[in-house]
Amino acid sequence: MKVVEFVNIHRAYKKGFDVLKGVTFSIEPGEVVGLLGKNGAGKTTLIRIAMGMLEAQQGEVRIFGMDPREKPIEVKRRIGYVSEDQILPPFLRVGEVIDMHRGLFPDWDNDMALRLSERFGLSPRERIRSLSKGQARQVALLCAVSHKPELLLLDEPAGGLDPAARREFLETSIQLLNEAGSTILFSSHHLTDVERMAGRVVMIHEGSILVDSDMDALHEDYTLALIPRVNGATTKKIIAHEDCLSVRERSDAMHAVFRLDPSRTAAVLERDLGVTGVNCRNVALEDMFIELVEGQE
Amino acid sequence: MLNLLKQNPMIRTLPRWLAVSAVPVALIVNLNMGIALGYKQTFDPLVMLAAVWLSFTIFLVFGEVTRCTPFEMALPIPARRLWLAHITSTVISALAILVVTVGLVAGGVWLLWRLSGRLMLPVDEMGGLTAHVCAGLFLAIAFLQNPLPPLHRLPRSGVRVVLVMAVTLALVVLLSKIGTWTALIPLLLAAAVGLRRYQSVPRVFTLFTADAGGAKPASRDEITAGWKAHAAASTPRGAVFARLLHRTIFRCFYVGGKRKFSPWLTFPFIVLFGALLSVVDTLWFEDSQRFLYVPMAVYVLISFTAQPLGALYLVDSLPISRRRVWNVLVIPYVAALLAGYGLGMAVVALRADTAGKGEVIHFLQGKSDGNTYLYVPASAMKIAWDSEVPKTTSPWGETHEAWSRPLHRWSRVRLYSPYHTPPGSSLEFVAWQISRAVEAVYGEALNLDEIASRYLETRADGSVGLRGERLTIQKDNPHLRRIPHGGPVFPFLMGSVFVLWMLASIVYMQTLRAGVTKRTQALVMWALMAAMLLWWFVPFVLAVTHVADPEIVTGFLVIVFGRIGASAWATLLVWGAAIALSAAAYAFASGRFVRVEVVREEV
Repeated sequence: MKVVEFVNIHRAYKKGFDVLKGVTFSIEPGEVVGLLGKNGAGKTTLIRIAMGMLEAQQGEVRIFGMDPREKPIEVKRRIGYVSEDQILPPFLRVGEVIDMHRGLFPDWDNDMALRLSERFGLSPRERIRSLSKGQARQVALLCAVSHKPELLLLDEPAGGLDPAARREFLETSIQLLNEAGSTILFSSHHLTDVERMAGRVVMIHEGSILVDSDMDALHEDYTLALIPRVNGATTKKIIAHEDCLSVRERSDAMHAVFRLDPSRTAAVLERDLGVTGVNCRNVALEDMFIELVEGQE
Repeated sequence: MLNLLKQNPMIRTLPRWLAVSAVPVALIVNLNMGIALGYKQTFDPLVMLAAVWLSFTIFLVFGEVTRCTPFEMALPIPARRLWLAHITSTVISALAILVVTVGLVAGGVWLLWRLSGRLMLPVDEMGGLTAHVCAGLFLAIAFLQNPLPPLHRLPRSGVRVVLVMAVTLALVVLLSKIGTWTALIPLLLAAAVGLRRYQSVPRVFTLFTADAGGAKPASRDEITAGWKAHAAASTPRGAVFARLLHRTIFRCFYVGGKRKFSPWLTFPFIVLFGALLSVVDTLWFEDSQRFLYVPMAVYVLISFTAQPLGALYLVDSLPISRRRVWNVLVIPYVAALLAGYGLGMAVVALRADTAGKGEVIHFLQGKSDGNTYLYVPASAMKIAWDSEVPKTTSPWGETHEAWSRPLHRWSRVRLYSPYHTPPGSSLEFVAWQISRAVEAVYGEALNLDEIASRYLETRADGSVGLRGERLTIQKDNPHLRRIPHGGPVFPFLMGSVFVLWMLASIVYMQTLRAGVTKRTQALVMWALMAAMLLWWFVPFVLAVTHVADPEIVTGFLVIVFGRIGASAWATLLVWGAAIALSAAAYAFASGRFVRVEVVREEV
């Protein structure tokens, strides 16, 4: 059974302005999926729909085969959730937050919670409102993982944290993932983090999926082609090609992303568009992201 | 300066506080003025002073009163200018509360004057009193600036604010008794204290004073020991866990979100309305007036329910049933309402010596024709369902028309007073009618000869007049107690309040979804509250337009409920209907709440 299933999800906040425009993808057990996109692309909306906090106006969402709006308790008990803007009750002490969570989650692992508390240096007497941003996020992570969730939803979990805190946070998440074998869907602007953690990437742009690919395939089977202007090729002609995902004018050349490996891209460009002297190469995720997103605009 | 004022949290939240404090307080004063008018009583002008003071105290204790925000501290603006902006905002807020409270009370006085020709408050004294109120408010504002001048927020505690407000109120009351010119005393004192505070404003405000630093961070050993102790404690289960969970949800609603909405403010109000819906009014007036409090109770409940929902995001990612969360929001208010009702009943029971002892039977000169008539409470009248009002015939055959009034202008149902004494009534007939009225109201007849000799006389023109200033039945017969009207009023009132509250909440919940702006949410909430306020005004409007007399309508309700109370089946039916409708409204609202989308408020 699939852990997460989004089928043709639509969601608008204002009439006529769809944030999600027919998003469809699913996640298998044990997968670690990075959700990428610019601000306002719809990542948070999608994760909140998975949590049942928002309702899809069209389409179907299934978490563990259940509708999170119909069976919120059953779904949330099996999910760990951390988001950038998630706030724990500020008036509670860390110990009280943990007490509340261990009462709410039947599979709560007290040893893991204790281990993490000591690792993070959190005192049970400390009030949430007196913690730093990073410490508060650590408490949220502790609460999200200590009940050994089958699915971990992380929405910009390390946003706003300094590099050391971010590293600590991610290392802990990865370690826990290895221990529990959880499925993870996480969104982040830190593409190096995504590269390190995710086995698969789903890139959303303006409410639609631009790329849904394994990380390895993304590195090997997607090509950035730098096309000189001397060949008479235009952006219109290039983007019209079935394997072209994006193209944009730059000062040095036209930058196009193709869903092909570099050698095939060069051959296809020469055969179909009569373009020669193209510099084709695999690129890192961050460059790919920028090319794809900017090329769409 | 104008920008600073526009951005000031006090000014920005002022409309909300006017609606929560000044409007209800003024309307309660108006309502009680209306009730007092019905009982031929007048009001002390100091009531208005108390109303303004109460509204402003609520604002100071719970409102967003701060010297400047951390954002403003980061801007290149001199601290003194920030301080002046803060003082100006506080003064504007105080004046707004004064204007709204006095305006609404003045409106009520005018309405009642139009209706009855009687001024409930002496208008000529109002100018002087307003000057005293202004001066007193300025003095209180100046005094509240005293502690910790360098701190960016006002280090105020509820106790301190109440103390300062109480002292200034006492001063203003004292000075207002001497003369209008004495308003200069608190005004000059406020100017002196204010000037001194202005001089003590530092170059820059500080976020924390030196003595307000945080505690020393715990060492690794302390943390380990803390966790060991924590782990040794048993996992909260059953009732202990439920208490922790419910307490946490409750606190999230009121003190967890960006906008704190202290239960210390909300719950006393609900208890008060519970008491007003009970028979507590019989201490002064008559219990038929409690029907008029229904829209106000709903108004307060709507405003108090909508606000905490903004903090729902704090618990929404947890596997907690929405119905449980809804229960935590609703049940405490229901409990407070019931507690208030019980408290009202208890107060009346404890004050049995004074409860129901106001004079309610009057023998007064009519406004229009100068004749003297016998007035009884509408609840002591009788109903003519087919508009056929029977004449009243005494045992010796003297017959007169009964006074009657339709339920509303177009109704065939009339309420009539069989105790009417129209012109031409003999002295014996008037005495007999007074005796019957006393029996109807108190359940005990008085001796006719005694009534005639003690209270009545025949005037030179042959008409019957009052010996002395007024009829003093209760005063002369202190053992008399008004007969309680009975009937299932409790389920009717509580059911009405609850069902209307739930329906209004359902309407508001339609706006709780992502994409609906805060402005739209606020507009819907204000519209709902305005609807309740307008409804509250309906009795006044009906009276002014002569469509219906509120006293007749409430009297009719009391009589009908009294009759229902006489039948066990009818009583059960009312209880059953109230419970069924309340349960249905609750289930419907709870179902809507499950679908609400939570959008986190900006922090």
